[in-house]
Amino acid sequence: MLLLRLAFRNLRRNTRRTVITAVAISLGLAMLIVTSGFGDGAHGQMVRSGVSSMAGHVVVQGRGWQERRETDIAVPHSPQVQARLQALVPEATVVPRVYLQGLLTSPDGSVGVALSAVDPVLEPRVNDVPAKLVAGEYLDGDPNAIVLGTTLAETLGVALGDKLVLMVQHGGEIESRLLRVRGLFRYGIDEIDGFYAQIHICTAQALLGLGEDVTQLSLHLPSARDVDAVQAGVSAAMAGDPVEVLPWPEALPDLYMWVVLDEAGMYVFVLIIAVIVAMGILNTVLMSVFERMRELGVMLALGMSPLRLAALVLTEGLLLGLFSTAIGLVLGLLGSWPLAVYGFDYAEIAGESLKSMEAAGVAFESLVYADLSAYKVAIFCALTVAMTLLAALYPAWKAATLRPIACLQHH
Amino acid sequence: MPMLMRIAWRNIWRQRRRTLITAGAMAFGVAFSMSTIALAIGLFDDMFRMMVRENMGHVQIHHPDYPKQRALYDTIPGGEELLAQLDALPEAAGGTGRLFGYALLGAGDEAGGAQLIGVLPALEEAATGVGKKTHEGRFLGPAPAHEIVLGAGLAESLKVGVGGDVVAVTQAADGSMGNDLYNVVGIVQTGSVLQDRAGAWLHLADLQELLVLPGQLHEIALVAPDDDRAQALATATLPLLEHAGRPALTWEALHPADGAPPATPPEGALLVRTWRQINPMMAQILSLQDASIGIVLVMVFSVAALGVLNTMLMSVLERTKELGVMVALGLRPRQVVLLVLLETLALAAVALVGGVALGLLFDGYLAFMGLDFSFMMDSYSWAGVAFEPVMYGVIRVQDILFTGIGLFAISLLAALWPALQAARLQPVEAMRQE
Repeated sequence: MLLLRLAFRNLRRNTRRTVITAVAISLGLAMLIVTSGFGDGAHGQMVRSGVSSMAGHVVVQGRGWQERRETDIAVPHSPQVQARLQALVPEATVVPRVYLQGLLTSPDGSVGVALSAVDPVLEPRVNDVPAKLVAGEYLDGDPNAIVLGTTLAETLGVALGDKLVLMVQHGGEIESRLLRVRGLFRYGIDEIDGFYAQIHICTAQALLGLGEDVTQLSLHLPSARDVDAVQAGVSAAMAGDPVEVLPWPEALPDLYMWVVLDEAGMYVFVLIIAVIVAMGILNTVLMSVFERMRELGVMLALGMSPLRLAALVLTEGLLLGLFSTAIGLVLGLLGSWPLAVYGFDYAEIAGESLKSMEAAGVAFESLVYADLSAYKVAIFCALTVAMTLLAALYPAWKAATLRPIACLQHH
Repeated sequence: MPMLMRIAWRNIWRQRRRTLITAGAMAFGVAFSMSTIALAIGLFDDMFRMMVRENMGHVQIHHPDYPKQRALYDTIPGGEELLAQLDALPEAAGGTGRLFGYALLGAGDEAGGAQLIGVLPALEEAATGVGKKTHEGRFLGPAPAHEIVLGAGLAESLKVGVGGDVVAVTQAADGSMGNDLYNVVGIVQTGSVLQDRAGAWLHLADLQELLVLPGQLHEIALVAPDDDRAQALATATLPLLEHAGRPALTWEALHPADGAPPATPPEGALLVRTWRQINPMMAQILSLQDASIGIVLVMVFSVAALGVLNTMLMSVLERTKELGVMVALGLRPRQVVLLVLLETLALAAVALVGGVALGLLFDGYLAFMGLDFSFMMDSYSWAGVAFEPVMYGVIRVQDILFTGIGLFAISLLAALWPALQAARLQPVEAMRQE
């Protein structure tokens, strides 16, 4: 207690220096909170976009599909499996899909496209294609309807209501089907708008001779945090079936690696800021020890143990760390607040054509909302205090090894 | 002044440990900023190189309707003769002609949609160096021989390798269904997400035959000798096209700045565009380059500046008495400010020397060894560009200069307050202080 009072008074003795050091520490912490929240927001958005359109939080596929991606690898007895999954994970939306490649042909030309064949009722609950429609409507019960990207429609020279032929190859044969354009969507990314379309799932099943089976049953969860638990549960329940049960990081490895790499880059940046701040703390505390040589020497001479003296210096560091962390936390939350509520749109600075960009194969919108996790913020705060203590170690050791005589002679 | 400089230099070494720690923090900031900038420039350079210099070309010429509608029959009639003349322009370092089509490619039981790209192999190779991106096998031979080169992703989804055969089915320009068999001679990775996933290269003559478009081209792509000369190259094509009886339409004429209605293309006109006009997104991403460097510098230096502020303030306050004596002996307040600022400059100079040395070490590693993420991934994609999993840094003198100037500027700014504190000393009171 005495140590605490002493440490507190020592910090107050040089208010200006304490405040400047505290500002450096809290500024570092605030930057960390804001950049990390912003990064998590951006990554969360990418993951949501990828997971909703290209997979699910957890996917159930015919065994070997992830590796080989052959259209005849399907989930056997799909309707029953779908019902079992829904019963197993009631909070999830279970969505059946068939992924296929084909050639769309109109009188104006033909384009090779990637198609998702979907359930028109279930898909809109998880996928944002209906929200991206700029003309017409989303798929309904009509098996011959197709929705496609605006660029693709331009290339093919088709408008709403026009006819298109879809050709796919199956078992060495070319199968084709006449479709009618029901809706046009626009993401603002050529990779999607120019080469992607959706059709009714039963059309794909008929074209590929799949019967009632589907390529993938994807589980879309209310929160991405439950992925591992759900994957384990589903995996155990499906152990007897010829299927593979994958969490999204394994279903979408490119996206996952992108996020990991980007996060790693951010942590390197954080580390650098931390090192610069730590050197600042080291300097402050070390100087405060050196300029109090005489005083510390007197304390030693009066019988204070070196260990207690070291504890005093460490306590000063701790107090400084706690104080700065509190300010940094407030600053960081204040800085993140507008980013979380109103978001930040870098396309407004950089230019309209960056509104929507491709990243790791998914649409990345330039309007990003920060997403703060209490857990991460708590860790950052703890790290800041720990770093301050660490920086005070050397000065504390210096103080503990002072020789009282030399100190008293020092001026 | 020289005397003040000598005093300043001596002063900073009176507290050796403090000077070294502060300079160390600043040097670390400089070194880190340098390597971050080198990586960022490397990334942007890669992107530009892969998408523009080694793919699109700096300038492209099309039928005015082709870029928007991509209709098979919007071709450049007599394109090959025109290409030969354009390639001979002194402003052009290379030129190549392309014909495009879409087809369903089948190999065994697998099928996939593909974008067919018909090229003149020798010209394409000279202009964009596509042959160097052939990961397996080789690029197309000089003569049409029903050879095909596939994008890596396409080859994977078709499960076909070098030596395999693929069947292309497509609708030809005359409305008939064209199909033909091609032998896979190579597999390429161009760095364009779309082309790696769906691109297939054929000899121009083979594709002209498949699409029933004899002697036609969709695109003429020209490469400038360096990236700054794209506009000059575009301008140089205009009189040549005019002379060849093909009035040129510029992008500016189609998109008037004042909102006036766009020009109607005269019969037989051709559209000439630079890479900025073809791919405005790429241009805007490249404009992010300077902004991202600025953000790094501001964040790193704002923390470093507080260290400078603290150090200089301490050093002024602990020398109150000494500074008081100097003022009493006739040093003017202006000179006191100068002394403190000179000390800061000396500190920054020490930091800069150490920082640049360390930074060049980092940069050298990044430039020659690179950061290798291949243990994690095959490639990662951003804005339509598939990057190699090894990131290389690019060292540019201007970035190092910029970092150095930033360091000096921010240090001086941080030292202003301590310097003014020192200048306001009242000598009598200052000397009385213990």
